[in-house]
Amino acid sequence: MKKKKALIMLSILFIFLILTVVGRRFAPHDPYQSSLMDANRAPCAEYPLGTDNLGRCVLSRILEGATVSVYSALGVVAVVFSVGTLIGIVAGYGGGWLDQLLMKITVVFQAFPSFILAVAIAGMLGPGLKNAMLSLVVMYWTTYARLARSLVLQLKNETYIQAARICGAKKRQILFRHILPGILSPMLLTAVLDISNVILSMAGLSFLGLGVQAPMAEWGLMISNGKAFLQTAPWLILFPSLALFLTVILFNVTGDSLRDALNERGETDV
Amino acid sequence: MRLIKYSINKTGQLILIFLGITFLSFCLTYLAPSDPAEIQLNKTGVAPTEELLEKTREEMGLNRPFPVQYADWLKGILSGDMGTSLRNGKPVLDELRKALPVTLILTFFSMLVVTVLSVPLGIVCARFQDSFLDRTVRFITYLLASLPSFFLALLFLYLFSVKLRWFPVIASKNGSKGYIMPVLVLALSLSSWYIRQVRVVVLDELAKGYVAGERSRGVPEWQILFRHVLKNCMLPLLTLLGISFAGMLGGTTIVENIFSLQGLGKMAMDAISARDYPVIQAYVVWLALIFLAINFLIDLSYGWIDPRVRAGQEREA
Repeated sequence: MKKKKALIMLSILFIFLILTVVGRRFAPHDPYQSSLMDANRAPCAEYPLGTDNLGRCVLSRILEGATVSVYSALGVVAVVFSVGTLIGIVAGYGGGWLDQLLMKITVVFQAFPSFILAVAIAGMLGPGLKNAMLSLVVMYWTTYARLARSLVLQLKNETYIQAARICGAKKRQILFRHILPGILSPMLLTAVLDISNVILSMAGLSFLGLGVQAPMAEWGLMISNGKAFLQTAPWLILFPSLALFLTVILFNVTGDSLRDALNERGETDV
Repeated sequence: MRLIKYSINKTGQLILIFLGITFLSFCLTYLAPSDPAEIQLNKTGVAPTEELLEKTREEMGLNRPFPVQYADWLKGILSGDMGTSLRNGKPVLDELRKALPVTLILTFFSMLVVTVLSVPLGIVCARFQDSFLDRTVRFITYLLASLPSFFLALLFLYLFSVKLRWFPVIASKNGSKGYIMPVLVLALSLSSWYIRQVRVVVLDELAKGYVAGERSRGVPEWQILFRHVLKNCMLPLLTLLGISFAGMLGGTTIVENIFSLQGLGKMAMDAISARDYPVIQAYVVWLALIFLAINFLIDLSYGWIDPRVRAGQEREA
């Protein structure tokens, strides 16, 4: 039952991910075509979600911006997942001074209020999508490194790992053939549950003007631009926020259903 | 005596983390693409030649070896000298002095609202698990947690400033009343997370034997919940509150910028657009130090709250 629900949610998510890529083809207007004649028009038949202060179609811009908003977050999660797992495995399996040093480093990183560090890094590097993504990587990698390390420490003394070692398996073989698959499922679950956080952080950075730059279409930036027209054109904030909200809900619900399904099979809770 | 030893150990760890934080913050300058000396020269309107740049770097101490610069900078922080702003040449400390209280007030009152709101609500939800109230609260907090805090802030602005006209749009023009909306926004977005944590912690505690025992002896329910269960939940609840403080501090940056409160977050964003690196550095160092201090206090309070922990601390030392 729970497994079925998780499968359904995953399929919906998959369809959504495809839609975010092809969605721009269904845009009724050119998302970058401004026409001052049509500035700040309320939703109507011609512009279903209204137009912004430059007369650009909000619906088209939401569809266009979906790719950046969603895939930049997915990219960040993919990077922190790989980097964190690698560091965690090295620290956990290697042990010794390297382990000590790496863990001390994660402690220092975690001593910063995470979003503040991201703002400062993005601010120092200068605004832009690449820099914002980099700052989010710095903000999120520690969770994965620590989790991977603790999972490796648990596995390290399992009989089958010891058996592999006694049989003369090479270190690389043990790490990638035996340990990595063992820690993958809880790590992946954490990553899925984290995507919505990263989407929100990314939107927060773009809202502050540290992410994608104008005139690019991106949800956080659209909301930020709409702020000045709060009194006259509230739809400029409402619709991109709604898109963001629904996306985050979708990832959250999927993540939760996945966790429930894994727990039912007796996987370790993360 | 042992407790003192424990405190010394803890302080040692604290100093290590302090060094780590300041070191990392110091390294942040090296991320900046533009040369501070060049910014300095541009500000004064002098066309930067290679010779002048070299001279300015010398004056600003930028060509000394890395460890010397770090040590110097650290000494400055400890004596309250955060350098001078590249934007207006004034000491960064002056700007900090103005901004810090705003952020502190904002976080203090938000934390207060979070506690007052979340702890009773979480306890009641746990006590009446799966009741209508519990399910409603869970649903609302789930939705709230998926809502970006800046949308919540803008929604508040729209409702209470634009539509109802209770507050002016710019909070700083509004004295202490200007803090109401920012505090509520911060508190609500954090409560959505914290209420759920309180509920889970209390649920675990309610399943314990002594609760059933007290009920069978006829101890009033409110006394069980708010005297005994709450007391036993204090440690995990405090820890979670400490963790959530990081999110709260991050939230201040967004909220301050929306409501135009002149706190650290607003200071940082202004500094970022002016490429005023020392001010950005001051922002990250100070917020990290606040976070560190809060968690240190929470750590110390464990022993004060729970005698069992105190015994443990003494053993550890």
